[in-house]
Amino acid sequence: MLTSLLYKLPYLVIGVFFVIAAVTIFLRARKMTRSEFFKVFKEAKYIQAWVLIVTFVLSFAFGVLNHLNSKNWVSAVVALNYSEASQAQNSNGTRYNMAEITCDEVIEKAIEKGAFENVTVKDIKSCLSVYPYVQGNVNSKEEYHISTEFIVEYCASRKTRHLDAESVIQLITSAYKEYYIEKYTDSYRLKTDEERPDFSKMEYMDIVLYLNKEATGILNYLYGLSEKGSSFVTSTNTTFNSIAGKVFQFRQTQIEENLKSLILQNGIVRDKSGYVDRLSYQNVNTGFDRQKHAASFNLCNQAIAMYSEEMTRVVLVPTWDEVGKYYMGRTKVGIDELSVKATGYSDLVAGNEKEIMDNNLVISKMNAAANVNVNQMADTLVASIDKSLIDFTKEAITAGREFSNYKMNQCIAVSVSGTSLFSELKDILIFAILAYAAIVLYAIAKKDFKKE
Amino acid sequence: MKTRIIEHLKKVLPPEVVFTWIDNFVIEKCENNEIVIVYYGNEPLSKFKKEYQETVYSHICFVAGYENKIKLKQRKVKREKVPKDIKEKKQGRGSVAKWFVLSFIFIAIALSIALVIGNYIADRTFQETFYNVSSLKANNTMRVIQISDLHSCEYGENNKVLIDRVTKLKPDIIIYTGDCLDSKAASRTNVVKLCETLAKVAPSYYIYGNNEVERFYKFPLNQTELDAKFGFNDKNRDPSKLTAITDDLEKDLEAAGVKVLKNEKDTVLVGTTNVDVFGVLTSNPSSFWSYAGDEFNKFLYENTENLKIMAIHEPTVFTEFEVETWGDLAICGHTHGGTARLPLFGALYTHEEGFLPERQGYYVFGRYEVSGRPLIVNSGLVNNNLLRINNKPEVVIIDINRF
Repeated sequence: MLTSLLYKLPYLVIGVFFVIAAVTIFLRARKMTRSEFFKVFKEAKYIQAWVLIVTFVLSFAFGVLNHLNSKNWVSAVVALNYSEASQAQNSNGTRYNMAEITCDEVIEKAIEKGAFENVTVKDIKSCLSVYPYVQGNVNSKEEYHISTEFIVEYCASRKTRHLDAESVIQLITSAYKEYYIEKYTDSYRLKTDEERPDFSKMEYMDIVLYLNKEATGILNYLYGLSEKGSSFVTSTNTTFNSIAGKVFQFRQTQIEENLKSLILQNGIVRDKSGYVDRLSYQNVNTGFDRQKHAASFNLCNQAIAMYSEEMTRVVLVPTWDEVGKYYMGRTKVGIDELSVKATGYSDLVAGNEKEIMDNNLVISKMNAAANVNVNQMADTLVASIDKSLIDFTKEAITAGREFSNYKMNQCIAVSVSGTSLFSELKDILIFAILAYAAIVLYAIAKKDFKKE
Repeated sequence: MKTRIIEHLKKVLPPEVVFTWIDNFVIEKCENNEIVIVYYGNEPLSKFKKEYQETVYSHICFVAGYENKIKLKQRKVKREKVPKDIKEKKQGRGSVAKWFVLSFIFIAIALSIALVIGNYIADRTFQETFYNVSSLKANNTMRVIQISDLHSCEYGENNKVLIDRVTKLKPDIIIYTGDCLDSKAASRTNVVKLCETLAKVAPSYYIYGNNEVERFYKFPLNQTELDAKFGFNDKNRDPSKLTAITDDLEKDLEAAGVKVLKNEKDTVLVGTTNVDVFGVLTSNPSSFWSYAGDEFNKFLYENTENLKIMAIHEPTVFTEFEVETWGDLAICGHTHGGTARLPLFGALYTHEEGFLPERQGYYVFGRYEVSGRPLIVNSGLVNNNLLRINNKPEVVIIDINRF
């Protein structure tokens, strides 16, 4: 604050010189003719030692204060380096919003990172401004421009002057980069080792379901990445599809064939009666669902049968294709919705029946066998499958991170710049000229006009 | 009358005529209806007679009377006879220049003193410099704080200000890259206390600088001195004999919970990321490979999935040797940012590289790239140097993430 006040002092001094000179000249020039007035200026001494010295001192003081004051202003360029940016979109296809660079969440993160004290989000926000690097004109097609570079300016206020401007803008942009990547690119995460359940307390068939789900999760993650970068090759020369192929194969052979078969064939279970009861209860519930779905299926069929013949005829409906070309579409009226529903219910009934049959199979296997040694074998297999899944998870995460880094590392590039030396020198030069003019005018007013 | 005539002429005639002719006129005689004017200038009088004589004579007669006869003569200029007003003008110009030079020198000295004092006062506080480093090995974001070249200075009583800020910045690892204890400091208590307090905040590592070496080893750790001291040659060199030497500072720091790294690495788990920190004792290029090389290679090529941070006091090895990698991040100090920093030219002076070291390509201050990875040179926290200008003491904060 002191610097900003002192910064204005040299201007004030030359202002005082100028005002005194102007008033003196005005008062004295009233008694003079025009030629006499100009003659004074013609004959005046423009190079005087004290004028030069005062100008030098004021300019030096201005230079030092200007330099100190310039540290309160800094700007950064945030450049979006991904293809969707040219369509004003985030990398996930949602609409890009430059105001997010200075949103509360980003500023909060920056305050936390910098451990800034005695300052609020609002204080910092009021010092920040964001605008496109190239400003287009929405009213003109020729001048319409979607900027992919944005300037973030920080100009310290009274409340934020105690903070280092460069640190603030650097932390803001860094926080924004993290915020952006978290929000728009890195939302998919896999479970870490710590989040895995305790298998010793789970039923074996539940473990199979869990491991199956985990493997499917990895597959979905890899397929998702593959859609974004099918040709991306990791540092270990693998692609997302090749890792997914390994995981798919593993799921089929190890989980479905080996583990599930072992459990079913040997009826391996930790708490036989409890598990059998649970499956029986599930079967009852599924049986109810099956009945409901079967009733709905029959209802749809009855409704279709009740339609008059005219309603089932095929009609032509005018419509247009993807390129906007009209054509006559053939469709059946009335029964379409009901027939689709009927098919759906039929599938549900089939699914319910399969589930009941599977459960019955498991129940019968469980009731038939009780071999403790096989339990140990199953435990070993579960541990081995889990370990392999963890390795696959790590491999998938590493590949995903490599891709994320490859795609996103340059996604947002930030360059911070303060006031340049040349711009400061330019300011000093302009000030020196103004100061010299004001002081020399003062000298003329005091000396040469007095003579008259 | 003579003065009146000259003044009248100066008023009514154009400035160039006054400057060329009238200023060089001296009226020698003005009595008995006779006016004698002597011209002391170098211009030919014929030119005056042709162009201005008639006008000038009419003006003289207007002042002195039309009955006067006017005679015009020309004489060579003699130094002592230079007309008074011209002489005054010349003297005036000389004194202005003299005045100006003297004043300029005086003001320059005064401003330099003010600058030095102003900087010295400003250096009572330190700045926090933030860097971002990205590495795929970082599973999570982590923060490393580097403290360097404190030279036993204090920020607040018992470094309270420094401790407060470092604590608030929530580091995951703290690394001291040498010269925190000055070789001439009376006591090491303040440094040990600082390290002890901060060791409670985050795992801390201490690397010796030339000041600690000077104080406890009493000889420079270059290869010649080391070999002579231990009686080593290329065949029987055993670096473990050097690292086995313990001293009071090491004992105090280890007791305070700070790990002193002497050509060795330590692994710390930050979040889910294993971080290997390697501290160099023999930062002199001549002894780096012979005394720290084996351990350094182990640090680089064992557990390659770990994040590697190399901490060394002097940055000289980075300019001396070109290697495949120095780790994921290298940090050092020693240079004090080049003491004073000049606009456009950068660092003014370092002990090893002399004047304007940055212009010669040396690593002196800030962030550089070495072997494709970042090197951060800390300008240190020492604040007892009057010439440390435009170079505020700093604490370096490095945020490492995978972006």
